Amino acid sequence: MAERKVFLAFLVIMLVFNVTVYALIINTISCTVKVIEKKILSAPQNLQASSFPSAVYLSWNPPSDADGSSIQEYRIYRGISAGMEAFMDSVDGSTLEFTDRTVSSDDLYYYYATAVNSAGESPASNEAKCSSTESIKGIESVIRLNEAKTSGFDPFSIQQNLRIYGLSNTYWAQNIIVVWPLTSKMSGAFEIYDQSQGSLPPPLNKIVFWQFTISIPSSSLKDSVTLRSSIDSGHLVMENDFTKYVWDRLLSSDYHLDISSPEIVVAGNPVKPSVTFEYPTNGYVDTYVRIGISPGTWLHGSNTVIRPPAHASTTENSAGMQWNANGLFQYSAGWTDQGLSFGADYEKAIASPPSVPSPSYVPNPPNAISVFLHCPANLSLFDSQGNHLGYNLTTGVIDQQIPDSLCLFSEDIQTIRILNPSGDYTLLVVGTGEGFFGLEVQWQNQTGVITTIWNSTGTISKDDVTSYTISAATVPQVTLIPEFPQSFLLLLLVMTLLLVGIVYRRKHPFDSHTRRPES
Amino acid sequence: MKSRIVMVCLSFALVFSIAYAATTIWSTSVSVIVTSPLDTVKVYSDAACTQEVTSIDFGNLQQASSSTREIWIKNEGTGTVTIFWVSTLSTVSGGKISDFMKYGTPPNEYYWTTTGTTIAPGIVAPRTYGINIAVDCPTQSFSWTISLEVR
Repeated sequence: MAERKVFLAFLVIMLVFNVTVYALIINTISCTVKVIEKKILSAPQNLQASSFPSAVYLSWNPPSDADGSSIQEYRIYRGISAGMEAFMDSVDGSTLEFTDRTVSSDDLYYYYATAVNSAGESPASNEAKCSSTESIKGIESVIRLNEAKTSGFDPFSIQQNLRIYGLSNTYWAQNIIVVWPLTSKMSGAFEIYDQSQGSLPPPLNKIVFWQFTISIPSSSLKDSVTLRSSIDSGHLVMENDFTKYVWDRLLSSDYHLDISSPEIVVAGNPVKPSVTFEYPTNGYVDTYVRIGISPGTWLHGSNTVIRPPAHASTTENSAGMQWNANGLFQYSAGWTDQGLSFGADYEKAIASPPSVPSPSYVPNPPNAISVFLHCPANLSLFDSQGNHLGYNLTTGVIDQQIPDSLCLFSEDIQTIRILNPSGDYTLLVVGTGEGFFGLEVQWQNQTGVITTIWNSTGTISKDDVTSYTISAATVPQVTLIPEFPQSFLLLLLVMTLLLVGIVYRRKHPFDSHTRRPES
Repeated sequence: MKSRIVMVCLSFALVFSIAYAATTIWSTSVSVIVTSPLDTVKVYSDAACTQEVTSIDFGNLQQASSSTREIWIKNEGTGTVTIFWVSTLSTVSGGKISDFMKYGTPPNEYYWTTTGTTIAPGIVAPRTYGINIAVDCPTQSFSWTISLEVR
């Protein structure tokens, strides 16, 4: 109340005496300083060096006379022997630590520091020496999808096991950063359950391990996730990214690959196996199913872009497919995504080699069989023991595994010759392009007479496979059972019927009994 | 009668002369300090605003050096105020020592110059007050005041 009266009285005085108040000071602070002569500082105090993996950590105290003086920077000197240090780096005047990350493991280093102000550089601090400890050898991360997931639409979690190798001391891991997603096609969010949430994680030892779980909501359809693990020991930071494709986990349980209904016919006709691949019904993937007769060479295959959940399976049915000499059948299925393939190749015996029909009698046993091929195709022959003669579809070289055989391949003609043949042989012709087809099989008897026992012409396309069986059993006989195209058989039937009709009409011409009476 | 009239006139002339003289003298003194009852903006040395600052001692500083102090300005009144800061340092040091007030952290650091700072009731404005000493500054002690004003 008294202050208010004083203030009012002051206002009256101001009005009476026409006082102009242009500022109202509401607070004042008195300041003092004593300016002293400029001089260089004394040396930094208590320089200490500590070992860290792949680094040496330095710390020091300011010069004793630095109080009130502006330190522009600290300079760090390093050497590999005492008293031989050279300038290495500098930090600003407010920093009292430095991490040397350019050290080699187990090498001993010597350090000293100086303080710099406007007057110049101080004397050197005490000398400290240290060697770095063992290096961090790496970070290993295993990302695993949870076991409960049964389809792509189910919520799932990712568990990451993190191991840091090369640490013999104890360090604290601080930052675990989840980067999601780098390649997502939809937006989403994470829930992160970190065992160390709310406190620092357990210390990391030489083989360190801790785990946390990232749960991904079901609404987030992701094709991959990336986890970034950052190890921050306070002086060292290591980061590593790990990308894992979600569907990888599904490889082991969520797809089914089987051979269904292989149609196996007697020799001379093809088997017609089909491969059914039941793939995950969720995911933006390209699926494929391939079948073949030798590893790595796929004669038939398909690639289908899958958009879930429209498809549940895809089937590849190869009408022209046949077994190889071992009765083995190659098949492969999987999917590709983001340029990576998931899947595997398999080999499975789907049938025994077909039985050989009773051979026809051949008067003289052959002492040689020759096969000539004129076409854009590769000629290949297997004996009953699986030995191969001819072009190897896998290795790309010409095999000559059958004893007493000859294999001559040129640009125009491919020739296979087997001396003293015995048993069964499977002959494969695999088209390498479009063109005319010419195949001739000859045998030579014991007297040296060469006889063409079969030849065939036509057209062939790339990857067309034609199989023949040649039987040279212990009895002197040769049976050649070629594969006749159905169109050829149909043409033969039509021609036969036409010929029968002509012969019939010649024997039974039209007579007056069959003609319509003239009006 | 005449003398009474003359006395009255002289008295009026004296009174008006004194009044005029006093008014003229006081009107030229424009530096008026009012510290109460509007003393609602306080300065502290801690962010919690528990240690009020009335003086700052920079100690011994070498020529061509600088030093800073952190202060927190709090509006403890009930109304928003716009304050300015004024220092006598440049005057007392002959221009050999300059001072500054800044806020923020790099790279978003700003200097509080001649513009006012508006502080709402209860709000604390952190500031850094610093001085730069020229290399040719006389080696002696300096005392100055910084004032927070409402204009």
